[in-house]
Amino acid sequence: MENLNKLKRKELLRIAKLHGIKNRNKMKKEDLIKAIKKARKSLEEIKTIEEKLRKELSEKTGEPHLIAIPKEPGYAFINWESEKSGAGILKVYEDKHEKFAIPVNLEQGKSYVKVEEDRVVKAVLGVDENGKFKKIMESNEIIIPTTKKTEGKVEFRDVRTLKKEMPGKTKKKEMEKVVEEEMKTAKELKYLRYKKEGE
Amino acid sequence: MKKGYLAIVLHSHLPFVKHPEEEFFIEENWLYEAITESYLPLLYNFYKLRDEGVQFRLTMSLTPPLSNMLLDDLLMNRFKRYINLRIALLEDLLKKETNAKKTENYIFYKERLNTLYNFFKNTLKGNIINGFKQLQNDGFLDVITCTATHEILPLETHRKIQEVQVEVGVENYKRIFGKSPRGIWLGECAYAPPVSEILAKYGVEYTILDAHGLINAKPSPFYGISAPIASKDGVVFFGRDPEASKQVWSAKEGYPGDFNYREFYKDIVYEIDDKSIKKYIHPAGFKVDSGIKIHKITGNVGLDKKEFYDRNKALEMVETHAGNYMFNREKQIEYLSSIMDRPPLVVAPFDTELFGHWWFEGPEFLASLFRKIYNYSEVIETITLSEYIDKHPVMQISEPAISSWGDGGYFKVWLNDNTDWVYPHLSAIGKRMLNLTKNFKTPKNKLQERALNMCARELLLAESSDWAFLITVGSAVNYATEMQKFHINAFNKLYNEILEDNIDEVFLAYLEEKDSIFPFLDYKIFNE
Repeated sequence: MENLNKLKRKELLRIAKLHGIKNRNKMKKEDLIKAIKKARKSLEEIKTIEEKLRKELSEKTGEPHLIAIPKEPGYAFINWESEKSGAGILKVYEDKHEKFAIPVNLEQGKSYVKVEEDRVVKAVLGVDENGKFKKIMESNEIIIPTTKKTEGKVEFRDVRTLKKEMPGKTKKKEMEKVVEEEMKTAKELKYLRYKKEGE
Repeated sequence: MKKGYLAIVLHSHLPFVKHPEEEFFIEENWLYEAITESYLPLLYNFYKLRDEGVQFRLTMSLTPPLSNMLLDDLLMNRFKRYINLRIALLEDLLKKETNAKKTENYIFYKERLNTLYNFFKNTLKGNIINGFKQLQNDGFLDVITCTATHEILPLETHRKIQEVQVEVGVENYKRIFGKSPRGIWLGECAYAPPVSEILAKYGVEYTILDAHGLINAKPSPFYGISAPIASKDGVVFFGRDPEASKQVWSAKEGYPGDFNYREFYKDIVYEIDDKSIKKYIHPAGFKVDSGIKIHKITGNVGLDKKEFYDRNKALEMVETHAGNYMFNREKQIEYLSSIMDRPPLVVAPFDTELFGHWWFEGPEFLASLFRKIYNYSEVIETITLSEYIDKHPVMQISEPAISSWGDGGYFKVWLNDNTDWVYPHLSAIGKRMLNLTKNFKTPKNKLQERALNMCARELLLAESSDWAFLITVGSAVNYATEMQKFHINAFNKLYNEILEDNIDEVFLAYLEEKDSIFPFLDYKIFNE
């Protein structure tokens, strides 16, 4: 801990602010030091709280939920937590059609589910009641990324006016070759962030 | 009129790290290192180019966490302490050193740090953002914003929170630059619908995606990534050119791995005995990088075999590499212009911190590249992305594809077995924040209002993509895990206290000082 007597008033004021010392701006240097020393005890208490908040996080959120998040082409992450316990069923829908259903623990769980690219995916959590599926909750809808190219009508507009415009002449075949080459290079490009890996 | 354009885009970002509770905090050094090694050398070189009359153009993002740290008095005072301690260490080393090569390097570093510090103090008036503002006002730079805390928007489960991330990013920019940003950098270039709609709602004109974000768009664009596309919302999407990135990105194949360049991993602090270095390191005795690195990469040899750095030789290589980069872009653009109906555009985005921090000679490389293009190239000119839109507003209409610029091109870097515990918590506290806004339309007193605003800050900080990234790449894992947990827990602590009407004012004041990002933030922004 630094020697308070050696600090300038500006620095003491900062520490005083950190400790929530009231009327600090009106205090003389020696009064500031006294007030800080007194308040230091509470900073130690704060640090104890902070330490706890940094280290401990309960696995459960305490908030019933069923969420879906896109991960990559062909995969979605599903996570749930409910107030009910016991055996349940998780149904996964693609473009509103049921893709599959799996038995799950109702209370809490996660799954990376395999789904088709470029589909709208949703999950529903429920229970079997006398042979009928009873919904407990449903997730948000997500779109699964795709690696495929989509052909379609080429349309040009002026972004300032949104007026339709005609493009000029471009050598189509040569351009297609360039795009193919670009995708190849993009795939080869190893992603590097220059972080000290493994540190 | 040249045949085509090169648009260099630098993305400047660091997570919000501030620890007023400790006099020295190791992770705060990320900021001081980035200022000393990247932001100041880059701005210094750009000012020099401007003063030489070189017409160069560059797009640069400045993320809200970074801009808030650059405007923080405590952090800036600590930065001054950081740089001055290193100058003092060099003076001390020079008094005793007898080896000519070491002396030469110490003198180089001392002069460099003094020059940069004087530039910071006198030219920038102690405020790095002044440099960005000035260059933008002078027409060289297009500064863009970013989402509030660099969240990966496709991983966010609440649409309203995706909107708040964009809205706060825009508002933060307006408060600093006095005008709206034209462009935005999406955290990790991560895109999925309905982001285009949200960008349009908040008046953002453009953003940048990885190549497959454009190539897999619907329909696949006619020009690939050699021209931007516009979504039906009227937002413009530029695509990263992989070829233009590769030569600079890759530490092994790219320019930064040249044997004459400075070695990143060998710092003098680890070679000086504990007694001599004591007053320059962490008071608890930890040795952390000083940034004074006097060896060159040398070759594929161990750290003990590295040879001394030769600055002049490194600068010769900078000229060679800048010339080579320009030559390759000229060839690329020359060919594209022969088949396209419009001038082709090559977009080359990089992390700003690559230039200077990781690749020490990076700022000089960029300066040399801009100088060469301006003075010698008959084929290319540099351009900002805003200027491109103004000059070539006719674009193909296409909906961009879900993508990111992370490893694999999607979201596995931030969503995997080691990090997926984060997202249910983010979804839960997001829902709680939305409920707070609904249930506390008018706070009953100032204290409650402060706690509600602090909840909003803790939520946004918990949403930073940085913590999951660091966990995945195995860098500063303990700190990243603790910060991720801390922001979630701090939110929940405040949330419970608000509901129980039992707010711990001392702890709230502590959070206000520590997590002091977005002083303007009003929790009502989460109102749906």
